[in-house]
Parts: sequence; C-alpha cells; structure tokens
Amino acid sequence: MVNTPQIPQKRLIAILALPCFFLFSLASIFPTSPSFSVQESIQLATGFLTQNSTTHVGLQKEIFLELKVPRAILGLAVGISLGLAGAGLQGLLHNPLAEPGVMGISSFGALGASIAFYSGAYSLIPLALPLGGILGAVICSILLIVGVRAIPKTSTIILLGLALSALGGALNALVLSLSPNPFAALEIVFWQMGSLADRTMSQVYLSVPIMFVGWLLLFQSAGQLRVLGLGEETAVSLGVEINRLRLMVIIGSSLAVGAAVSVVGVIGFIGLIVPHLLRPFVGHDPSRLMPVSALGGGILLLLADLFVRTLPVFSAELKIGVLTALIGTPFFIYLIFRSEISRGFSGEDM
Amino acid sequence: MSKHIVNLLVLFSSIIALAASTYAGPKRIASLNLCTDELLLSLADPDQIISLTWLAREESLSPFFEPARRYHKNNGRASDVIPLNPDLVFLSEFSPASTLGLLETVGVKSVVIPEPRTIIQLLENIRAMSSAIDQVKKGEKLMSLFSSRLKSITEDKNEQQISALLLSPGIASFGSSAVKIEILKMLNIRVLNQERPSLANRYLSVEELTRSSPDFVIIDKHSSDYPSVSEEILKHPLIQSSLKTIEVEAKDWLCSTHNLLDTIEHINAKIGHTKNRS
Repeated sequence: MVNTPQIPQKRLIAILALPCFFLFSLASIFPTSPSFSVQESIQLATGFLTQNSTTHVGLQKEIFLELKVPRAILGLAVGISLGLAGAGLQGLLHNPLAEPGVMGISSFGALGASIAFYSGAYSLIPLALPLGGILGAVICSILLIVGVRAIPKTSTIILLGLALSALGGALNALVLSLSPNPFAALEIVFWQMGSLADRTMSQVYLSVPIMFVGWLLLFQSAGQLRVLGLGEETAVSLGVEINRLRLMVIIGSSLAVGAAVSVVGVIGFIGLIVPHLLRPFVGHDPSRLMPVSALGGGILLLLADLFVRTLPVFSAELKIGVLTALIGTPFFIYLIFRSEISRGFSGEDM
Repeated sequence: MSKHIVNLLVLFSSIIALAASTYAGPKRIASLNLCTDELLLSLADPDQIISLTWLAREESLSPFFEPARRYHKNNGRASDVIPLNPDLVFLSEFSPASTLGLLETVGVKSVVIPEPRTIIQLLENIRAMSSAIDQVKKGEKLMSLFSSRLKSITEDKNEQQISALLLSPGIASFGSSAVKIEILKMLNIRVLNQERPSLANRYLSVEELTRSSPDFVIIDKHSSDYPSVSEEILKHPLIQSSLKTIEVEAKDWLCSTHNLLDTIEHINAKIGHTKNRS
C-alpha cells in the first residue's frame, strides 16, 4: 500500500501546534473541578484574566501557579510522551496495535512507581518515584522484545502485551493490598485509571526533564525506524544497528512513559489512537509520524482533561484514564477487525 | 483479740464470695463493632469481656488497642463469638441483619447500640450499655463526667463564629458524625460540611477546597507509618499556603462516644492558639 502524505509535515506540525497552544492556555486558566458550573467557570477564568473576580487576587494567582499550570504542563508532557512512544513502538515492532498501555509498559511503569511510593523510598528520595516507573517500563519492554524475537507474529505480540498489562495491573493491586495504609484499596483506582487532578510543580520538576530525555532518544531513532520499515535485512545493509536502535526506542519510551505514569498513573490508548488518526495525513514513515504524534498526544490528553474538568459526573472528577479507555477500547477493537479483514481471515496466527 | 480479727476477716470474705456468686450481670460479653468495643472497654470490668473486634486491636484505628489485645478477636461475625458461649453480644445498627438473626436463632442475648445522632442519644447509649452489663453506677459516673466536661469546654467557646471544614485524607468530606458537628456548633464553630451541600459527603478538589475558604480545615490524621497518595495530596503546596489546618488523630473521634471530647478540646485549644498568634 502506497501512503502518500496528503499534507506536508511542516504544515501539519504548524496546524497541530495551534490547537495545542490554545488547549494548553485553556487548561492553564480553566477551573480544575467539574463542581463549578459553566457560568462559574467562565466567570472564574475571565475573572482571573481581567483580575476582576470576587475571589482574592492573591489566591487566584496561587491557584493558577500551584494548580492549573502544573496540570496543564503535565497534560501536555504526558500526552506528548504517550503519543510519541506509541508511534515509536509501532515503528519498532511493525505492529499498528502497539501502544504503551496495551503492551503493558504503562502498567509495569505504574507498578515500579507504586513500589517506590508505598515502600517509602519516595519519602526518602523523591527521584525514586520516576526511577521506579522507568525501571518497571524497561522490564516490560525487554520482556516484549524477547517475546517478539521468539515469536514474531502480530497476534502473539498483542496477546503477550495484554498478558503483561494484566500482570502489571494485578501486581500493582497486590502491592497496594499488602500496603498497610487504610487508603490503599482506593488508590488502586488512581494507579490504574490515571488522573491529572491536583498535581504539583514538584511533580513537574521531577518527571518532565526525564520525559524530555526520552523524547530526545525517540526523535533520534525516528530516522532509523524509517529504514527499519524496509525490513531488518535491508536496514542492516543500510548501516542501521538494529540492537542499538531497539535499545534507544526501549529506553526512550521507558523514560517517557515511566516518568509519566509515576506522577499521573496509567492513561491508556493515547499512543494507539493518535498515530492512527494522523497516519492518513503523513503516511507510515515514523520520522514523519513521530513529531506529529507527539503534538497529537498532547492535544488529545489536554482535550480529555478539559472534558473531565467540566463534565459533572458523580461526586468527584471522572478519572481521565476512564475517558481514554472508553474512547480507546472501541477503537482498538475496530483496528483488530480491520487488520483481520485486510488479511482476509487467513488464519495466519491460528 | 487476734481471734476476733480472724473471725471478722472470714466473715467479710464469705459475704464477698456470696455477693459474687449471686451477681446476676453478664460475665461473658462480646462486641461485634469498633464503637461498641470502645464503649464496652470504658464501662465493663475487664473480666466481663471475652471478645472484641480485630479493629479494636489496630493501633491506627483504636485508641484502646493495647487493652483490646488482651481479648479474643472477632471479625464482626456472629459465628466468631458463638463458640465462646457469650451471655451478651453488642452490635451496632450497621451490623448485618443476618448477624443479629443468627444470634437470636442460637439463643444468645444481643443488644443493638444505635449510632448517636445527638448528644442526648450518646448519653442514652452509655445508659443502655451500662444497664445491660449491670454497671449502672459506672455508667452514671461516665455520663456525669461527660456532661460536666462538655459544659466546661463549651464555656470556653469562641466569641466570633468560625467556619471549619472536616476532611479525611484524599480530601474526602464525608464521615462527619452529627454529634461532632453538634458539639463544634456549641463552640461557635460552623461546620461547612453540613452548611453547604456542595461540600458534603464527597471527594473535593484542591481548588474547591481553597475556594471554599474555611477559617480552619480539620484533617483526620491516620497514625500510619506508611505513605499513601490520599495523605500526600493534603500536603499540596496550595493547601499548605492558603489554609489553616488542624490535624487530629482519626481514631480518637472515629466513634461518637464520650471520648470525642478529648479531640474537641484539642481543636478548640488549637483554634484559640492560632487566633492568639495571629
């Protein structure tokens, strides 16, 4: 199948950067709770901008700096990490269904972070939290690569990923069940369903620089992933060091995703949906897809966050991972059906 | 002379032994609820009790964890205590109907102690339990002590009305008992959980909490050495910088019993201290 990009990449990046900036700005001023009515939200947002609010100006400023800005930064950074890692993993594994959430990388990242948190390591050294997340993500990525090399079939990789994802979730629930604090059972929901609510600037300082290093590694591997798309043998003959490339993508995704889940929990399907939505515009080439997927991930997560911040459901804010799973799961099923139909139900993997 | 003394001693011991043998009160009492555990430990003689819940033994949940560890532990189920052959079992109104039904079926006397909604009901609970375990005098003493202490605490009430929000980790605003609120009101403290439905019985966000602008936030602290995300969120810089917080041990006022007054006194002292400082 020939994939001719319909829109030049630079123009698409410019097109995506605009809504990304708009949503980031909106996320930085919009109230962080669905308990405020639309009218109140607009009043609070415009009141802040015009400094003409009934609430004390000093408090407005503090809410902006301590609550809304970290939330917007994390929304953008986590979205970029998930979108970019999704596109990178799809390129590396030659699998359109690969994604940090589906492949278990996010679950293992959350497992590593929760071990660092509940063991008390985080209280001693805050950096232990993202490091735990990264270690969990690296372990899962290595298991995946070993699985892919042993049985390089699409369905096997996906089944392995789903199994690892379930295992990561179960181990995380086990860690929390063994933790003697009385809120552990409630907190399983945070780690498995993710949330950007009430994050702090310390969490931004702790995780975003690590995510940034992960992005650099992933962007650096984009060109080689393009060559890998021609087949391993061709790539090797063109000078691509496959093992080095694998390592770069694994470490890059693990740094980005591990650091992200360690502060916001597991937010699934962003890395699956975004590259698929953007592929018709830029084609299959990872070097073209990855930058736009990064921006797309940021847009999608900021949009989802604004949605949960304004949707008045139940007594508390809907967990953002619930929303992304509600959108992502039907999309995932659709992709499986589409991929099977395109193969004509050949029974290749049976 | 010494013979007379010996005779008198023998006579007294015989009277005491006779009184003990004719004592009609229950001697094998079990409790199937943390709050009835607390009341029972305050009213019963130590050798009257045979079983308390496992929660009473937990340091993070019970102020009486040490004495509670002397007794058999149950999981709040009738089947845990029936083999101990109790002659009286206390339950709460939240105990399952099946638990009460099973106790009735096997012929074990049981008493349900309701959750008090008012100070009067709290006193009635003390009266009901002390009468059921034949410790009426102890009960009366406890009630009188409670009433006089309450009077003394409320004499020191705040001159101006103060607003407070009662929170648990995770910024949860549920679980504030009506008795707590009644006593705090007597101290001229308005409890926003009750006044504003939008702040009641739910998880709040940090923004909602700070915008609600209570004079004080009273936070239930759980004396656990293990970290939790729910407690971590209460350390949010915005909460720390914009709100005055008072921490109280959750276990000390988890149950609406006479022991609430220790915590109420602590809160009032903290408010007075903070006001004096500012």
